[in-house]
Amino acid sequence: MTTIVARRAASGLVEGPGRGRGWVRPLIYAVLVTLSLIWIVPILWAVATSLKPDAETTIAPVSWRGSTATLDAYRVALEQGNILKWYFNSLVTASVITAGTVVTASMAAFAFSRMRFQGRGLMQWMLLAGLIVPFQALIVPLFMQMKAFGLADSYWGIILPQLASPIAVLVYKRAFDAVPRELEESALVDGASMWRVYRLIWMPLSRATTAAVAIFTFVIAWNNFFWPFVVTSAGTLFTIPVGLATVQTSYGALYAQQMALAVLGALPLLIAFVLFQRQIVQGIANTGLKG
Amino acid sequence: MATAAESLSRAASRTRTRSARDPRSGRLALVFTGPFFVLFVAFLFWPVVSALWTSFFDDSLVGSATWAGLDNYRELVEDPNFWAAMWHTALFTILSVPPLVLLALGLALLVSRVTRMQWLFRLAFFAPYVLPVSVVVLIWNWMYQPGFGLINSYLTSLGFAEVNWLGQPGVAMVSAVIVTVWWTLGFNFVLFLAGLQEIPRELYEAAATDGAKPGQQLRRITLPLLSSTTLLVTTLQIIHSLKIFDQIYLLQLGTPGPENSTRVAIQYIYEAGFTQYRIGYASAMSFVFFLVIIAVALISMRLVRRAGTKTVVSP
Amino acid sequence: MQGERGARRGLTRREALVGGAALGAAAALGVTVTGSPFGGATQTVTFWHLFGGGDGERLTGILADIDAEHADSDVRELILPWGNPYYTKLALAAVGGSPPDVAVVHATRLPSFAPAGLLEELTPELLARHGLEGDRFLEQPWKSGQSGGKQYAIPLDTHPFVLYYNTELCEKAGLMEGGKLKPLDGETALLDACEAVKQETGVSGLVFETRGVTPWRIFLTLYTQLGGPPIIAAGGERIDLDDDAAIRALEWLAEPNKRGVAAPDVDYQGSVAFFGNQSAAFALNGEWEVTTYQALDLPFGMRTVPTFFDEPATQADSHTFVIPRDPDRSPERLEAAMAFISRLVGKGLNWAEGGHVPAFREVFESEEYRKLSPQSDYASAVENLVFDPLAWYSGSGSNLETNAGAAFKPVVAGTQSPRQGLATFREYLDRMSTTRKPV
Repeated sequence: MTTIVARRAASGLVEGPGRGRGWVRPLIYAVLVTLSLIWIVPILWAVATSLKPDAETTIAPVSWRGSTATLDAYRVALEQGNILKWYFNSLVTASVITAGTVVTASMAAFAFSRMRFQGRGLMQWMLLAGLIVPFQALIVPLFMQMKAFGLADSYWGIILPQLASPIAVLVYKRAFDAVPRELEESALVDGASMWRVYRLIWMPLSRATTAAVAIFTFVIAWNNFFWPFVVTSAGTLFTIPVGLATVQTSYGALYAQQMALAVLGALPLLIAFVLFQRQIVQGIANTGLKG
Repeated sequence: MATAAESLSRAASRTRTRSARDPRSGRLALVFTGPFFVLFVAFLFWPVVSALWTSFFDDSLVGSATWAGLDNYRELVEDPNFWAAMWHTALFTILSVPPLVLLALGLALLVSRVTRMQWLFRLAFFAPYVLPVSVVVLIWNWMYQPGFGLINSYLTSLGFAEVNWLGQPGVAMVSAVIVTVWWTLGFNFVLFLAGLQEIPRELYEAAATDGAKPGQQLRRITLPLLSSTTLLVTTLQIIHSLKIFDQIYLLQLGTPGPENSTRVAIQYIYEAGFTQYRIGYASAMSFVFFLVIIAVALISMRLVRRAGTKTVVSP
Repeated sequence: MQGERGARRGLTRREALVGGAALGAAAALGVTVTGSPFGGATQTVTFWHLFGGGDGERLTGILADIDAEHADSDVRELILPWGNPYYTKLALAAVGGSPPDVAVVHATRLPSFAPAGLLEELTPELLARHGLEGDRFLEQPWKSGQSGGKQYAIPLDTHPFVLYYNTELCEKAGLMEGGKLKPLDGETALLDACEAVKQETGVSGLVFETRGVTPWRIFLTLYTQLGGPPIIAAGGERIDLDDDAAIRALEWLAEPNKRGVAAPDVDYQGSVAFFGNQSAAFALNGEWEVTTYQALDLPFGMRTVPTFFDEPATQADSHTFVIPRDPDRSPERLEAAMAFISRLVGKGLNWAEGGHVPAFREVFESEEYRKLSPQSDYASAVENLVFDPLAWYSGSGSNLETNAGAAFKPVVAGTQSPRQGLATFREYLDRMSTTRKPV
């Protein structure tokens, strides 16, 4: 598995000798810088708005700076008390989902990769089918199911349907398939059980894969809107996306507060992304999805 | 590691090799695959069956169910709103997939050609992807406002007329596409970037010494070697776009949009089930929709497999 | 690649991850299972409502006051977003057997709860025990809490549609008299006034939310003023829409755009912002934004919606309190819930400051209320309120309002004729009236 960062200097098209195309590279930079700025503008605009006094947010034509920069909007947003609870709920549910997915998917993938058993073919077909199933189309029966189990409006109601991740199994299976069989065979010769083989040899070797799976599972679980929206009514259980959706219609034209909440809602993963940019991007590349 | 493997394989060949056809494998495999498949069957497989079952009833979310046979299916065939919703989903897919694939590819090509500031470009294009949909919608709804909204304000200061981004039929769907492209392009971009990095530099150097221009290198080396990635990204994007709901629903504040023009399939299913309480009908629509997605996915996957066998570059 | 060293480190990290997650899950389970540690002599009452923004803050303040003033009060408040999600979730909670003790319900939404047996009947004895007899309330809001001859809801207020006007801009256009707006009755008076303002000040005339339910509410006001009968009858199964009245009402809706005095196409918040930053001289909206505008120090006034046509009428609804049926609820808890409701009703003056018209007569007729300006300036609207037609798919924030709003919006924008808008609306009504009732 190559690292994107390490090979950045080694890729790309090579210009022919003596072609005098010195203007191409600066042009590319110019285009990229312009596009990047345009891409960042919405987030910057949200931050700028959140620092203005509410009354000044609806002045036209717009200006990036208000008469003063104030943290009032943030103060009110935090005082309302709810966003901290939303953070907590998102953290709990996303963490449990990630841990659960990593464990169940890696175990299942290990079996697919290294064991022969009855029903293996059928299960693999089911796995592929699971990739296609649109979760959103199953909202109604899933909700009725949670209601029947008495799990609607609970953490487990949010968590359980998100634990089975066919794509995580496939990613793990790809990683396992790539590891040479000698390692397992030698351990078996030494008398180790498959379980021990799994724990001691496979998992650490697949650390990068686990990081990848954990990352994309966590992000998807954290940002999941529809399912938590449907399955919870109690405001105490709202995750960040659901809580923020209630903000849209309930504030008067208090756009600074809305933007403050939006920034606060975006902050955890944005910070994580900025800090771990390399690993996150690497993780996605390593999923093997690139073909 | 290599020497360890060598010694191990020597040791293995000396003693009886215990293959994975161990009779314990059967029961053990159950233990390993068990947790996953229990969850899978309970929360992916069973709801599909349950939806099929419920679709034959006239069932209410808060009340009783009566047998309806194929009535729900007959109703949805004749329901203009259902087909309009399916069309809106298709329209969204048609509008969103090309930019999400081509623009991502183009950006990846550009970024792979520069050596400095790659981190900045990666950050800019991928950062939106980690935002939850509610944040994305809050920000863009704010930017799309008339008068004091950022976009319209800039348009008017440049002398153009304001655009009714969210309220005009036709434009509203495009606005949703713009939001989606901004939000999710980063993912495809990263996949393409990774695919590009895999192409060995030697190929380019060899072609350059043969006198190939950059345009030719692009057409003969880069794009063909990237084809399996491209097709995979396209397939995933199509399937993903068909499942569209969150951002359109939130941008239009839970309404079906101007002249119902942004009500997509899943939104209609949700409305039938949760605001009209008709879960029998919603289940029937879910099932039909589900079959459509499977059909599209199978077709795309076949195309991907066929293209995947053609990745050899002819010299 | 890192061999055994990596193996050991990887194990620990993952173990920590799984362990941490397990702890988190245990904590979560613990929180959901054990719930509140409170107990003692107080009786907990769970209360769901859908008020956000200014109303929400006000209500939370009122609840805090009640808890402070009454030692036996312990109210657990839950705020859910306005509209369909709130009502769906409330219905599900009632059916699922774990509803709140008290919930706020719009009077017009009663048909989707009461007939299904989801609400506790409020018998005359029960009401009398807590001082909540019917004759202590305004007539129409009280009646709206009935279904099938029984009382299920107690009104807190009624919230009619009103006309907001910018006093400064109207002054410049010569429309003020004695500090208040001159009456603008008649079909064209308001539109003429808008033109006058536009000429004098360049500011656009009239703003209202076009991307939502407001077109429906204005339509209903106009339609009723034209003498149109209730649109829906027999609980939603019969449509009695008078096409002529409807067309005339829609024609009026298309006028502001035709005359060039309309504000741009806006969603609800945009419409509030437009009036708030003085980009429009008049606004048609419910009365609940009064504190928003006061906070902006906006020079504004409010009055009843003009009588454009034959009879005065104003679209309105009522916030009422219901007690969802819960077979596991103890009699003490029921009494506590009723006591809570009567305390809330007693706080009607505080609530009225937020713009709503108090339904409790003592507050409505009190001097303190009459002194509130502009809140009491439109109190006369209570004499000709028109509520949304009663059906399981109708009411505040319902499918009917959303679909009607969507059907009329192109008429407002001028992209469709009134006839076309009416046709779309009729098609919706026909479909809904033949759909089997889910409650």
